[in-house]
Amino acid sequence: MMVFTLAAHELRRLFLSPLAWAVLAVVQFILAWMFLAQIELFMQWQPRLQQLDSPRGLTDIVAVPLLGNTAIVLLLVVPLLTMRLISDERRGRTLSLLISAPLTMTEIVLGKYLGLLAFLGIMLALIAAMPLSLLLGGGLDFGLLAAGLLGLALLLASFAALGLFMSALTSQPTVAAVSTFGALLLLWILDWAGGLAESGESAVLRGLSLLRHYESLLTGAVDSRDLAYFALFILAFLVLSIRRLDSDRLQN
Amino acid sequence: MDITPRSRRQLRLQNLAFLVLFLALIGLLGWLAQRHYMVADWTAAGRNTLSQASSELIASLEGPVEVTAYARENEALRRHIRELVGRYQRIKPDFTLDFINPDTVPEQVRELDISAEGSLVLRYQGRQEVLANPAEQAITNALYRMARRGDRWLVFLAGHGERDPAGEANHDFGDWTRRLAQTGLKAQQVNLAAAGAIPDNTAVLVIAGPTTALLPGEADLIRGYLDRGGNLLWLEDPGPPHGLESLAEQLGVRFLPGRIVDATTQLFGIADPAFALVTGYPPHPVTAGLQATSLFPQAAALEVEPGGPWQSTPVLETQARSWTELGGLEGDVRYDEGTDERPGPLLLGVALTRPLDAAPGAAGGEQRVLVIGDGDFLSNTYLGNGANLDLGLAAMNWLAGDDRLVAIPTRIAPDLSLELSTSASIGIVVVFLLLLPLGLLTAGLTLWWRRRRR
Repeated sequence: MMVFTLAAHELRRLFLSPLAWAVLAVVQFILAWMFLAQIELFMQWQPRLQQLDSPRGLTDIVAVPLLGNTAIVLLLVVPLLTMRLISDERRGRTLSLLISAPLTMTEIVLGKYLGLLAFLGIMLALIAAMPLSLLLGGGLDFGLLAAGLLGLALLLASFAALGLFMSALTSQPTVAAVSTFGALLLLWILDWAGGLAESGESAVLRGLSLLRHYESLLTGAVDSRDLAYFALFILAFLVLSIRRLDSDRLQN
Repeated sequence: MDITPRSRRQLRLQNLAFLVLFLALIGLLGWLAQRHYMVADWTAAGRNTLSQASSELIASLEGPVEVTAYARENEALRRHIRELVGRYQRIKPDFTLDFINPDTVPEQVRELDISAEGSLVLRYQGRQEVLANPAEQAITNALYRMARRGDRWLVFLAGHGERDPAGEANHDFGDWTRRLAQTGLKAQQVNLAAAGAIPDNTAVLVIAGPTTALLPGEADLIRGYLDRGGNLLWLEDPGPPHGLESLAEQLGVRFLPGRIVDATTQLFGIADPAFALVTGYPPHPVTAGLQATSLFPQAAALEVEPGGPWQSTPVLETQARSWTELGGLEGDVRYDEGTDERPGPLLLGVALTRPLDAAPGAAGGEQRVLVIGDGDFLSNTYLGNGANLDLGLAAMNWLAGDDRLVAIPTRIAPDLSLELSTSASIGIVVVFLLLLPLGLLTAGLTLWWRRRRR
């Protein structure tokens, strides 16, 4: 089970750098701030909710916007975490060591990817703890929350896959970070540029937009189209990363 | 393996071929996933799913339903509409949605009389309905009306200078009947003196302001029609009753002399005082959902005589600052106490119903009559004012018995309240905003410091 050994190694390496701790601390602080602001808003609306025809609940007013904002914050943060995955090894000449080890490229890429996912999983647990703390004083729509968390998990896994690929392309971590961030942002706002027509190219652009699929999951409707989008996105970038390292091995 | 320039080129070609094929495969899989999909609604209240009533109705429809949404390029509004229609599309694949920016098609907007951003036009089997606000309740009920109704005939009395249902003149009803026809209510004119009878397939008989007197025999035909349980819309303008006294008597309704004058109109910048405004509506199917003011030019007031077989419900009432003016409208017009003039609020429209035992073609076992002291509010000139058009459509729907509503249950979220005790809220703030970030930061700093010392 070399994959898991590699993953554990990667996770340990992340926690040995102060960057990971700082990222967790800053993200936690910003999101907690947003979470408290959202609670404040709910407290203001609460008396009026009962009078509405089909009112939205606590989960919808507090947890869903929190998850929506989390996506933006992590769009900025994930490139910082992924930039070192492979480019560091390339720069420190340790990549050839890794490559000459009795490991397939698939194992190396999956190991590093899973290690990063474990770190993002910890972050997700910290984020999920905030809405769950509301159980102290009210009920939650668990289905809606679960759909939102599933969406966020898939979104983070997609971010990580793209970051891993960018990191495999270059030996400069900052270049990897900036290009990951640029690509993610472009995928995020793809549907803005496409206009709003319902058919033709703009429908395709909308189909490619990360934001669109994430928002759809945030409404609580779990659509197989969105799940398939994320799955194919992750698969594509993992395979491309493996290919890239494979061709490196051959060309050296 | 030896790397020669030749093998390097081969490798590169191989890589390129792989890349193209792989991306094509991903694209194909993505396309397949878009074509065959399923949606699970995880929300507790089922907010993303159609209600039982809607989905049953949609499943029973045959043929395509076309929805055109008139919305500017406002992403939030368009997404809302897309989601809403998507719920119908999941059950009925031939439910199509198109967006049109109303700014680009001003003539269509005028023709369909679209006032609100986000209006939907539903087309089904050659009929169409315009919905001002996109919501499941409105869409389902419009589809229900369009699906249930075969064409019904509205018979407009002719031959005594009545308003022409197809006419384009200012005082005619062309615009109104065109909108009614789109929903399946077709208008035809019948001259009783020539035809000798009211057609059997009449859904609603309309008497729209005759200007010359009806012959006694014609009035008898109308009374006979009422006795048989027919539905009637009577729009009477101020003036002499034109041979319909016996009909009024049968209905237990009396028209007051004079015209309604409303002092409030001056506040709205209307110079002519002979406009009655109706701003509030009593609860009745005809006026349910109306909010805007409706405008009645040159209207007569009514009075209902108690007793008789009819159950009467006021539908339209003028404001307290109105009265029936008997004199002319020149110079200083004021309410004269001690004359026959009546102060407001005045009854302007009344709905009369009577249970029917087993009458064929009746609206839900009930005979329905609507008497309104004005015909101008539906005329081509005034139809577009305020809620006049909506009122005219709702009145006809009610009379033709198409007012049964499909009730969509409201969706109550299970988590409407949050009551945090003081200690709990302090705990949340302290843990998430202070303890966790500070703890994480300290851990990171300690680590960095210890590694630097080493």
